[in-house]
Amino acid sequence: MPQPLKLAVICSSNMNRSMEAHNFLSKKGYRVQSFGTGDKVKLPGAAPDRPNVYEFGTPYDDIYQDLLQKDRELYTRNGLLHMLDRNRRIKPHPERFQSTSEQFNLILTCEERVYDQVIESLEGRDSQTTPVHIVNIEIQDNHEEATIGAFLMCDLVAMMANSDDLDNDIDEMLQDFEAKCQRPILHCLLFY
Amino acid sequence: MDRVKIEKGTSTEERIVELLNSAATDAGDQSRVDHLIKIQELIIHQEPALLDNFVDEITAFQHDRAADVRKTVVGFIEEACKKDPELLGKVMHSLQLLLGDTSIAVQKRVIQALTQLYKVTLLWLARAPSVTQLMEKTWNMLNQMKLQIAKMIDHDNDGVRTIAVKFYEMLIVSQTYPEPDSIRKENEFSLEEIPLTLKVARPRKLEEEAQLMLEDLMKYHGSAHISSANLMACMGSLTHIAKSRPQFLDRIVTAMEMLHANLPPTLSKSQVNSVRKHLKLQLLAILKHPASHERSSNIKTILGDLGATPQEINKALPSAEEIAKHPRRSERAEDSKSGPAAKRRKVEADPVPPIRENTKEKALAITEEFIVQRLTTKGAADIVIEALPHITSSMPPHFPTIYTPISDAGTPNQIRYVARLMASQMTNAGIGPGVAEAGYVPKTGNDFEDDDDDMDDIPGAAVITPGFRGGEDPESAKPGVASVQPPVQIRARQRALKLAEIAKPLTPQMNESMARSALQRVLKAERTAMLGGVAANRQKILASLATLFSGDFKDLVLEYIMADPRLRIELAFSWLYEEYSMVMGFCRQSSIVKDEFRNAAVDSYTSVFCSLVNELKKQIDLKEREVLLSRLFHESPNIPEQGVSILRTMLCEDAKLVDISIQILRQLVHRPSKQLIYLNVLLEISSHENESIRSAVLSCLTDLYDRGALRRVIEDYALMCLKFLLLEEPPALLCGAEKGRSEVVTTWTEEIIKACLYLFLAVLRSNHKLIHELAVVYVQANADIKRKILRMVEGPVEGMGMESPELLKLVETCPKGAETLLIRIIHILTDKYPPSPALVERVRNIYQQRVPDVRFLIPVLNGLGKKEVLSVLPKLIKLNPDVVKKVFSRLLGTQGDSTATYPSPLSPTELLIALHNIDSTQCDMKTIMKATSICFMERTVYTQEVLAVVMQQLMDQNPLPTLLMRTVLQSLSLYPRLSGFVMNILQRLIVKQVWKQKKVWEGFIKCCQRTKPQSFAVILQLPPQFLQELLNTSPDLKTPLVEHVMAFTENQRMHIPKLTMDVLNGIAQFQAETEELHHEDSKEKETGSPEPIESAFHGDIEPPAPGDS
Repeated sequence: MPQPLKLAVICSSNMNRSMEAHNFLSKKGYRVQSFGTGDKVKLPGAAPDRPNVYEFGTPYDDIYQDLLQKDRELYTRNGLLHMLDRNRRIKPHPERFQSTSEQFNLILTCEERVYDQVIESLEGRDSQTTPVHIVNIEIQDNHEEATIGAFLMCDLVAMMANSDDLDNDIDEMLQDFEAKCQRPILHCLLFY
Repeated sequence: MDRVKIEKGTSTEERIVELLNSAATDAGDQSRVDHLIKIQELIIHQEPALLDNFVDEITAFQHDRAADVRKTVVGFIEEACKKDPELLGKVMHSLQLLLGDTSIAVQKRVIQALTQLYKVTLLWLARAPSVTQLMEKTWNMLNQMKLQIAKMIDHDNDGVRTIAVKFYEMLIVSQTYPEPDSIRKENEFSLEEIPLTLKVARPRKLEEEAQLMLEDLMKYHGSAHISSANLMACMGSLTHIAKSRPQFLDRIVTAMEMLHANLPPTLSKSQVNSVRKHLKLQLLAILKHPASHERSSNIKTILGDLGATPQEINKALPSAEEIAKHPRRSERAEDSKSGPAAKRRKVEADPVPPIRENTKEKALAITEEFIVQRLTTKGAADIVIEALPHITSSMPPHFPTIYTPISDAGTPNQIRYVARLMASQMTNAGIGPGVAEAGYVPKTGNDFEDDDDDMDDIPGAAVITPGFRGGEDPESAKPGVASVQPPVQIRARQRALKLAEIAKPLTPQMNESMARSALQRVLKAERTAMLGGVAANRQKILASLATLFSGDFKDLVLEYIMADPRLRIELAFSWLYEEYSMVMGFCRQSSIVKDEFRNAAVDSYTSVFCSLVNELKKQIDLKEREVLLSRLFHESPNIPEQGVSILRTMLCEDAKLVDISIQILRQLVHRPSKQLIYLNVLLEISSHENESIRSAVLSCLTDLYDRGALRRVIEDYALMCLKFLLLEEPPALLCGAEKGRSEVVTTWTEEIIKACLYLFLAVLRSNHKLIHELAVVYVQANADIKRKILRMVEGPVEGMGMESPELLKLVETCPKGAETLLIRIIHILTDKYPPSPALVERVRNIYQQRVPDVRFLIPVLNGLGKKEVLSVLPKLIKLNPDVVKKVFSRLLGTQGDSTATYPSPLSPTELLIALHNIDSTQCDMKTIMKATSICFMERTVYTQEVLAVVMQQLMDQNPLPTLLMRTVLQSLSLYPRLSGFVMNILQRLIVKQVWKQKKVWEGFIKCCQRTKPQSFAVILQLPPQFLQELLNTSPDLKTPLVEHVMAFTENQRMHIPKLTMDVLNGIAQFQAETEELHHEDSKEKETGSPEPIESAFHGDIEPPAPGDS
């Protein structure tokens, strides 16, 4: 058996989609971490032009408390508090992908912009020889989609984890997966 | 818990030992890995000093059955070497083993490690004060692995290919020089770090290699079968290279442009998306680099097409200041001439030229220009109308995703861009004016396999590699549709097409039979190819096929050629040259041609050559057979040994081919490298039994000999043959089928003697010096051989002429025992021409000083003085009558058929007189008489006038020569008309008192008898005493004489003296006494030799019988 995959799931703010998947995948026993790629952690606010913005590194718990304090009813209704509550049970705080030096075998992203940022970030590093596959699955940033997305990612990871030789098989797997999930998939290969 | 205690209480070293032991004994794969990782951690990060101690123990795990353990070992080696490069020498071998590991994962890991360690090794070499043997060995090993990895770009496994691409990238970056604007990353290595003096790895060589590898990588990047992951890895690598080494940026941007216009047809929809996206990102990255400034408009156009927003593009564009800082490439090239880095750039200035890329770019540019000029609104509309029927009725599903509205439609920029798109598609498809002008031939399908040496392993592969190309229609090249794949293809294919997986190897038989039928089709296509104007290509194909494949193919092609050799001889030649190229290794990329291979190739070449010649030889009816044969020999790149023996048999066996074979050989002899071989063939055949063959060869050889080139060899061979004559029996060398003597001759027959001499005598004509050798051999040879030599020497000696200094020298120095040869030679020389004074002089010397054999003088008689001739005359006439006859005919100038009259020292008259005057002590009468008889036989010389003069002169001598009367008698019998003259002589004899000389007197009486009745008048004038004697001797005269007198008139009778009358009447008895006295006197004289004179006076003028000696 090859060494188990080391996974990263990444969305913009490391709140909803990545954490949903993180939750899901870690429950299945995969080695998974989650990240965001945005400049700041942004959460919807009282109005569209007034989002809640936090620095990466702000503990989920702090954000939870902050929102709780700001408008308990609103944030309970839109599910943010519930989400934050889940998040703080998984890990302490949102992490920014650009700041980590960890290396992964497979990086899953949740939207094209994130995918671009991941690539940009990786390309800026000293290019070495360890390959990393980056796969993007388009997931809208809402709770329902996040859950569906987490399922999809789980399927994909399950397939990949079973492969003896991921580098060789990934092209085909992605094709099969794409046919099944009916979502556009992006994939590329970079190196640490 | 004991273990924990021990670990705590002991040093790191002991812990490592502990861990090693557990790693060795632990059954679980994963735990072994864990142990090893722990060890690695301990050694490398905590106690690097221990590295050296444990590296062997750890590398021992490379044989572990678990791939993961082996992988870990590789990881350890990598880390260890990074820490301490000195270990490289120790571990390189392990890496080499592991590179050939059965597990793909291990292989990949090794390549990854090497990608790092390659740089480390180079640095290690570069920094070492001196390169040790170990270092060199390590480097060589690494180079071997490098080649192995370079090949892995075509590996079956996608992942391996990907890693190999990265290795390429590292190699290209490491083995080139950075430019001022290169983006440098830490840990990067470049040629700058390698001193120019490093012998094992010359920077220049390395740079060349990098250029080649870049070339390969770009080819791979543009190949049609590349998988999406590989393609993206490749793009990433190229981008990295472009940024690190801006000197390649131009080419890489072009490559990406081409890719954009011709995406691999095997990609699926989402892969196309990913690739396009990736391409966009890569181009943005390149755009950020200031060096891309010159190509920025191209890049921007593509980016726009790939869906990048103007904002994105602008964000990526470097600031104006950065561009300003960055001089234009063309200017920089100028600057650099005087710059500090001039030397280094000079090295760069002439890298291996990327010819193929250049022609491609050129073709592209030409076609682009061509399209720009024609892409008017009307033209575009026409194309669209033309293309409409080809467009499917429903929109391909992925069209909307990749379609971006054209913002600047109709602007010159956009027109140019569309033109470029179309141009790149057309160029790739091999059409358009640029293709024709620049001579670019698009490669189809597997570019890479062409460059590999797969061909050598599986001959069939070269023939049955299918060209794989998507069927893009260049006409449909409209913006936005450019890279759209035909939709049907997409839907039908659920998975990416992986050729390597689908293609199953054919069975060998199948392979063979398919190849054979392919060959047969090509063979049949002669007319078609001719009409199609590709006859030359067809010929080349056939030649290659015949060369690369085994016997059957060769037979087929051979048969084909021989069906019409006249027209197909060119094919034969190109085949031969192809084979020859194999022999010389021109066809192979690697310069190391294995001996084994070479031998096989040589054999193959030889057999092809021989079978061509043999088959051609069999075509007896072919008119051009000889011409073609000679072309085969002359125009083939090499003639194998067997070819030479064929030539030899050709020469000996086929009468019709003799001339041509000799001509061929003669030409070939001028080829320096093998001239001795060819010459030897000629030499061996020079003693051939068959006259026509031999003479042809001999004339060829003498001609060669005269030219002087191979004089020595020919001469030596001739002498060798000559010296065979001294052997007991003929050497076997002279016999054998190729000499025309199939039976072995063991005795010196005439033929075999001749065989030894042919060549020598032929050469002798040109080199007179050799005559001395002949003389030497002659002396020692046996009688049979001597005789043969004497007979054969005639021709050559005649040719030499008597002026030849060597001949004269031989005459001068005549070796003992060679006299007969010498005489023969002199004879030959003087047979037709008068002897030259020089020759005469030498012969005279030899006669006088060394060999007093008069025979020497015979040939030169005419050159001797009168006295000399006279002095040897007695000796001469003693020789064999035949010889005497020859001597005389020489002296008389009547010899042979020669009409040349040359002055003889003796006139005929003088000769005859001389003969008469020979002293009888020197020579007996009989001999002299015979000699004179010979003279008389020459009636053309001794006419009656001559004889009259002779007699006249003899008459004047005193005493009269003994043979006078014999001569008179003979003259008379030859010329009866001389009788009057004879009467005169008789009369004068009386005056001279002929009776005093007994012999003459006897002759006189005979003469009188013979000439009666005319002689009566003379007889009557004799003194009575002698008249009586005469009548006594020949009583039969008496009665006619008396009657004669009686018939006189009285008056006449008066004149007869009284005494005479008395005698007539029988009165004079008184004379008896004197007569008796006279008789006794004569008897005394006769005692010496009475008989001969008797016979002499019987006047036998018949020539002596031939056998008479």
